[in-house]
Amino acid sequence: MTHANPYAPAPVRIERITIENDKRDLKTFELVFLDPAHEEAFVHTPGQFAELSVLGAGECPIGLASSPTETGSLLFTVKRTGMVTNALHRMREGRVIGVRGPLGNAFPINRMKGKHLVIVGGGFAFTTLRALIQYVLHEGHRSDYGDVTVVYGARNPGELLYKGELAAWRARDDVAAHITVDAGDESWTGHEGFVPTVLGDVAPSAENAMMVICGPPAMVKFTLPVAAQLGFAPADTILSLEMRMKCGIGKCGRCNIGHRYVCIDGPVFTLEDLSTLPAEF
Amino acid sequence: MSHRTLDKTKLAACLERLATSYRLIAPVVDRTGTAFSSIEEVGAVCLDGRNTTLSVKDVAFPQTEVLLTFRGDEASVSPDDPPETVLFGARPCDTRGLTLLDRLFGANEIDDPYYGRRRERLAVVSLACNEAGPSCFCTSVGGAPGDATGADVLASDLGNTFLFRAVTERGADLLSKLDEFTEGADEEAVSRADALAEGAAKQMARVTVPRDPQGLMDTFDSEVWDELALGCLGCGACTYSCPTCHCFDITDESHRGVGRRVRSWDTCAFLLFTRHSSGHNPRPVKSARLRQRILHKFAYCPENLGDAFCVGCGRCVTVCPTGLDLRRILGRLDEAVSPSGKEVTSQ
Repeated sequence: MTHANPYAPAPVRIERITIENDKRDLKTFELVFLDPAHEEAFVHTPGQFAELSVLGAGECPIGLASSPTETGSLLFTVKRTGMVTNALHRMREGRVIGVRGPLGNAFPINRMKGKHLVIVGGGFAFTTLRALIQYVLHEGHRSDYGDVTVVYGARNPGELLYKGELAAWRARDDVAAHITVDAGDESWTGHEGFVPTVLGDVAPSAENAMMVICGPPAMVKFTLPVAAQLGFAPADTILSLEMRMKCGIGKCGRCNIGHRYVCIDGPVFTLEDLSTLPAEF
Repeated sequence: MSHRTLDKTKLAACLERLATSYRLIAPVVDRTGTAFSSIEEVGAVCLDGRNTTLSVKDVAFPQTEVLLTFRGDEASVSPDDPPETVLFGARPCDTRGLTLLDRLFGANEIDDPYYGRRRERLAVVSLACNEAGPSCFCTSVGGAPGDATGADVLASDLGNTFLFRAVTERGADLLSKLDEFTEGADEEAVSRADALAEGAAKQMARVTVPRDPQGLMDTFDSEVWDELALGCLGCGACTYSCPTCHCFDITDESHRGVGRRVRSWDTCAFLLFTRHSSGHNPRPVKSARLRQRILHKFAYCPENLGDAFCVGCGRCVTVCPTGLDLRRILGRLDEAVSPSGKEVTSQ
């Protein structure tokens, strides 16, 4: 009898490492599968995550920053924090690590069709939102969605992720990208202020629209009332959660909120879903 | 299905036969009391004790197991190839616990190959209880001293003989291999066995178990958890001894680039269990962790897997260093859920 082994990481080569911020504790790893069969089997949707495996250090769950429309490699933006992420940050291009996934549910890209999208991100939680934006703006999908408004903020200009893409989005006329920093420098020409404030100023209409929010807990806390005030219903307000995880497949009992597991029932929840669960996250 | 009896003078020969064809696992006396162990010398098998100190879950879900080995950047992933195994003398509560773990490890169409392979090759001979232990409460959580759930063969101790009842095809097959040691059983043996199990059932006090997951969820923000947690040290002994607690950790062990990734039992009783690398912890206090253990068993598992993850073996009651008794916790919660229940439970 055969069993597919959900604990087996697929080997990937670190093709390219991009240092994302001035503090150098955020790096984007571009990974390429060694085995084409693994690459073919890895079919993901924006919002999903994977376990990155560094043999000897362990595994940790990281959101997929690349859209499935970006073929040939996977992107993961990793903050240096614990054992595995420190090990990753010590690695050079060319090294082989492992990927286990894709895991979890995804942003409701089908339910979003025909709707205007408001995408709100803060800090390094912007990663899966990058995947979503790249997906929606892709020429094969752009016409499926209405207006796209992005509000993204970081502490200072040096902490903004994906500076190349941000510039590209600002240059397009089919996406309104509002980039803000808590405190700008002399060269900064974008918004200055916290994400919830900028969102309130931009005031996108909730009419036939959905909002997706990913950010640090304080940002999410102050963004939710703004979303409600703008008229976004809890069922149309989408959040992505983080939890300490091990297996990623609903067995190890670690990432539950009430009876739901962030690894298989999430990480994406509507505000309506979350209101039925205990506030234990 | 077949019913056979075995004269106890032939037990050793019978076990010897099993041990030559299978890996035989049965209770033996050890420093903890009794424990399930792989049997080399059948004389060591001890079937007259009550429950073993640790449950049988280790047979299918070991306390520590290797998920993969590695050398440098190269991993070698192959679940081990467990031999066909007979688990002899598991108590019905423990066997039922295995059927609950089956649901978890096969849930959501994701089969756990490590657990699955061991389980596929495991035949279980349950031994009915003729006597209840002081902390037993299987009858309050859907079990019974003569429960055959999950067993391939149900054995009963009739004094000078054992009665073996085949429950599954695999069990009938197993019994047929022992025909030279056993004899056909009559109805009298069967009714004696059933009467003994019923006698054991009558020795157990009834425990009030809140049945409504939603009702239990209503206690989530109740102060009852702070009160109950006063008696909890957070040591996790309850979860390690539990036949259905299944939370695990995955960690790497390596030396100079050579090592292994292991899975080991973990427990929601520990502070670090849910602590993020950022330092944030969704369950920063002991009461939240005790609440997790109880609600996981009695609210979340019924919701996700169809039944409470408690088989009433009473081990957590016995091992708790402060005597924090699950039966009392459940009674207290029942009061909290239905204030009128107070009169019933205080009788």
